[in-house]
Amino acid sequence: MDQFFFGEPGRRLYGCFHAAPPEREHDAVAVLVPSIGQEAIRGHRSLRLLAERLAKSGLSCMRFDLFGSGHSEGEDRECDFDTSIASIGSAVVEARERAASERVALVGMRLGGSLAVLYGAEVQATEWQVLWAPAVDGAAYLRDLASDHERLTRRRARTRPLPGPTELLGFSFSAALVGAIRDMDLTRIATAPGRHMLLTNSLQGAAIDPLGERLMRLDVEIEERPAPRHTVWKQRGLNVTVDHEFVEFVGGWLAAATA
Amino acid sequence: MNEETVAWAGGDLVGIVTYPAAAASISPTAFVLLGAGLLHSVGPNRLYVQIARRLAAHGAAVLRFDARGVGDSAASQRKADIAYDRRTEVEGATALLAARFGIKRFAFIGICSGATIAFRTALEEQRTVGVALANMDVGGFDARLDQFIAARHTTRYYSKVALFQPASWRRLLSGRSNYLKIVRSIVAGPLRLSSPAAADAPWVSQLVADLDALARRQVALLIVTGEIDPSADYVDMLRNATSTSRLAGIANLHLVRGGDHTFTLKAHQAELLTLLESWAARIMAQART
Repeated sequence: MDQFFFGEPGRRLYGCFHAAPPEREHDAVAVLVPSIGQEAIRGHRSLRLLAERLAKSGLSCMRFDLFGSGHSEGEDRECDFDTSIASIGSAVVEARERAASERVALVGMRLGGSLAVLYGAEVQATEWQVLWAPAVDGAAYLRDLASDHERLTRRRARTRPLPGPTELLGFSFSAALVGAIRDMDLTRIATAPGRHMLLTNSLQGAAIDPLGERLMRLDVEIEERPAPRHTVWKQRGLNVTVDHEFVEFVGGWLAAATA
Repeated sequence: MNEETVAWAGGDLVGIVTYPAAAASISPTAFVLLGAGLLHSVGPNRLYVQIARRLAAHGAAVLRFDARGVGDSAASQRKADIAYDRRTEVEGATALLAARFGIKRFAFIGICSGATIAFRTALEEQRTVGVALANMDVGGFDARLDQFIAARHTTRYYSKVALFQPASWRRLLSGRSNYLKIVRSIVAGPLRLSSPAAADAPWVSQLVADLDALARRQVALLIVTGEIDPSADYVDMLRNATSTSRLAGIANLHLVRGGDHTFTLKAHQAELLTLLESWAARIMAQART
């Protein structure tokens, strides 16, 4: 595994590249798009294990942190949809160069899945996309985060919050980010984000079906799978959980799709 | 400010070093952030990234890294020998900083288990000039004492937090509370608070002796606890065992009002960052005199 910073000075992103063995290398590269805030921290281990699984099966893989998140430059309140989609673009360029392949598979967990769809629909469609419990209805996603935040922090209610951006589960969400998430409805995308897509339940009950229907109307070849059993992004404290079964399933699906 | 990825132990251990843009202004004291629980080196709520960048802005080189089996580092090669792993990991980290920046003075920072590692490291590493412990994990040495602390923690939660929460009263009045637990806490809590178990626990004596040893070496010790974190109860117990004035002479103690184990609220993160900046600034100033 190679770890490095890439991108323009002042807006550099942190990345890790997992190269497939030369004798097994597929003509494709996977780019794993994390969520933001607390979900990014909780999902880190799963995405790392997925990257290792993919590389071992022949698909080189790049993980990275969005601008304003993880080890990348920028503060959390500087993260918004524009910077995030630009981050995906930078990561795709970097991954293509390192893998010497133009064919890209985006894998997005939670809001990372939503951003992958928006990148594909608004910037450049990718050949494959895997959406791991994406947020389809942004307003509902925000309500879920706010509810978790209230449950976690109601014991600290005597502490006055700092003025400024919205706080959610330890992170500042700028007004621009909150607004963009609230306005997001993936069932209204106008262009196909990818050619072949694997969808999993968004945790919003039936919301996955309208997204699947929309994608099929855009002539995307989709496969749907029930929700992952473990909501690893909801883990709290200093523990980390991984849904090994789901990692194995996604790894197998992508390895077969890109072979 | 610069940030670089670094690796050692044959590439098995990876981290990021943050340091001032002007090489000539790098402090001779470097700071090492020890991982919190199983989270990778961004730290809880990305705190380690914030700490590293803040201290680098004041002139320090700061290294955050992933322990074996965590984050982006490789798995351990030695089964169930965590103590060996942690020791060699930190040795590698300090060697890297010494080689890269000529560092001869080190300060260690940690949250939860990271604080425990920082504390143990400071005792062994003679080049330590400072150690900052946030919500140090001190349980697991004495089951009876852990039960005592857990009961104290529960009593404190009910008396300082739940009593003032409308949601708690709604649960109480609607039949959704654990009434037995509440009664036990209210009735038995004060009795437990006066238990002699704490002061007599051998490991408390050892802990005080260790703190004294650091103080004799003039290691700048900062202990930060969140008010609703169990470590606050352990610090109270230490005060009872040693006396508040003696403990204050050994360490700079700070309680973050309403603070939880990972300093979830941004106001608490800001408080922790300010404390660390002041502590670090004093340490770096000492290096220049």
